[in-house]
Amino acid sequence: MNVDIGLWGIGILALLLVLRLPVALSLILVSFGGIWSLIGLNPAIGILANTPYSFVASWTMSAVPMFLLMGFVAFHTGMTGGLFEAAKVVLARLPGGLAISSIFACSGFAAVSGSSLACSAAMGRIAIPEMVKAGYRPSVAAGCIAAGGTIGALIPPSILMIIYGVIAETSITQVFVGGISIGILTALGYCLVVLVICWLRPDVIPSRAEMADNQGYGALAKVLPVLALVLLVFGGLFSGLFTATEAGAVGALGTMLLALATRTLSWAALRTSLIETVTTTGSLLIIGIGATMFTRFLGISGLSNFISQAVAGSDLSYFALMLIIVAIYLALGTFMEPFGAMLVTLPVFLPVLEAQQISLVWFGVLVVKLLEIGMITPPVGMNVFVIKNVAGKYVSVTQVFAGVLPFLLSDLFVVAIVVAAPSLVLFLPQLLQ
Amino acid sequence: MQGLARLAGGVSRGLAYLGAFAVIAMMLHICLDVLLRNLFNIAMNTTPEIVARYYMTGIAFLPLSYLEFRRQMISVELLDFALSDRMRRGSDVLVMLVACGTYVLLAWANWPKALKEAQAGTFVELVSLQFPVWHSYFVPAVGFTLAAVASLFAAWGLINPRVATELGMQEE
Repeated sequence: MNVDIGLWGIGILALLLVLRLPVALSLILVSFGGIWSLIGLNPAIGILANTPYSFVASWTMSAVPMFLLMGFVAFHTGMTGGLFEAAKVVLARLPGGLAISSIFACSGFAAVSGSSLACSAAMGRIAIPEMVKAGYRPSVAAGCIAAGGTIGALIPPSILMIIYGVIAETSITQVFVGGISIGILTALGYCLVVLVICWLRPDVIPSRAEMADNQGYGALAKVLPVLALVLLVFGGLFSGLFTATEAGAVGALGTMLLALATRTLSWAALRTSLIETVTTTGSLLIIGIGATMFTRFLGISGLSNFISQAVAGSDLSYFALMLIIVAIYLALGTFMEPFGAMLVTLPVFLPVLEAQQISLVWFGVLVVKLLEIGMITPPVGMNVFVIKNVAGKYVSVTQVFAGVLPFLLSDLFVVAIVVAAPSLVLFLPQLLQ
Repeated sequence: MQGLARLAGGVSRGLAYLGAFAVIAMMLHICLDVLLRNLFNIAMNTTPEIVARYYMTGIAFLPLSYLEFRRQMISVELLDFALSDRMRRGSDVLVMLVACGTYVLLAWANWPKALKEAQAGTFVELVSLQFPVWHSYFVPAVGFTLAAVASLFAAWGLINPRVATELGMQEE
């Protein structure tokens, strides 16, 4: 039975992943072996020969290194550092004002960077010491920034969303726009969590005594470079001056020119940004190659069709189907890196969703949210590890995981809202149409 | 042999810098296209083809050996906590050898493809010109071949710390 070979393929893939073989190579090996056993050696070699080039040599995919470069340059030149200072000017007087300022700063950082790791690292370095100094419990301060970092991949630009758009063959611009709603919902949810903790446990998050380092209204000017970049990228994109693919290049050049103008672009910062862009792009694209081969393998085995028909025939309700998908992503997120988890699962889920006529734009936004939850769940929560790296003298990894818990509850609530009311995500993309 | 390791480390770094150069070139090329189109209504029809077939292949495939030396391939860390240092090192060596085998397979499939495209002189038809693209098919073949060699060296570097230093595996 061909479907059996498909199921065996999934089992062997899981085994190889657990045995620590890189995600990309596991996908490639399983796909090659599977296609060989299904239709012969020559077609299997043909797929090995054609897929790498055809996947990578893509105009749309060029947005990945460009948006990565934009985020890395903004991060290494310290352009985003002023966001926290500026947010404090407006928000520090609120109960839990420092934590709320850090969440808003994360949202601002998200608008120029597509990565939640960079967002956590940048904000963690600045905000956690200040929060601890102001009397915040270190675990909650660290948890707040680890969770706030996930907004980096929700608010566009988002590298996860670009790759999703390419794999799902859906509009990247629409997924980007859909991400704005879920990013804002997430940020508001986190702010609510801070307010509730502040109200219930003033010993954990103090409501006052946090104005010591406030730099006054002059600090608002520090947000101008980021604001200029957001206006340049999204203004140009929505006014039709350039496409989503070109927006990355314009944003990257704009970031460099701004850093040059403010004399923050050193040779070391440029070199580090470029090398990080190249290594991150290389490690992501080879997973994409593996995932494309895996999709072909599952298609040839008939497993994708089999699962779609099984779901259609089982009379699973929309909510039951989504409950299964959400549970799978949350489980994978506990130990898998987001790109790996997304690219391994999309070949199975996309045909099912298409058969159920579920919007792929909405699903892309939901998947990115679910994968970002995985960035803060144990045992492998990358944002938590980054926070431990930048604020290790205040907290242990276990304490950060404990601090993240209330924010995780907010995340689950946001997921439930988005599943129950897809229009919350879809109204902006529909407006764009 | 350590001189060979130094050479391998140097080549991988050089290719990563070439990839970095491709990133800058791609950014400037796309921005120039956007600028000319919006300011002077001049269309650079070759931009998408050059970006996709040359810059993107360079950025994706040339740094593969550098990625292997730096151990920057994404993997699942589910079992890491259960392994002792010795077991982890053994597992890492095994992973590198399997990685080498996979890259050999990819290189073996991609070299004939590149040679076939070169013989055919593959080009793409743009509005008024035939744009040759056959050269770009060699980039994945070269990248996979060097990644196979790098994985083998990396396995050696995991056993011998002096080799690891020559390869640049211990750099940050």
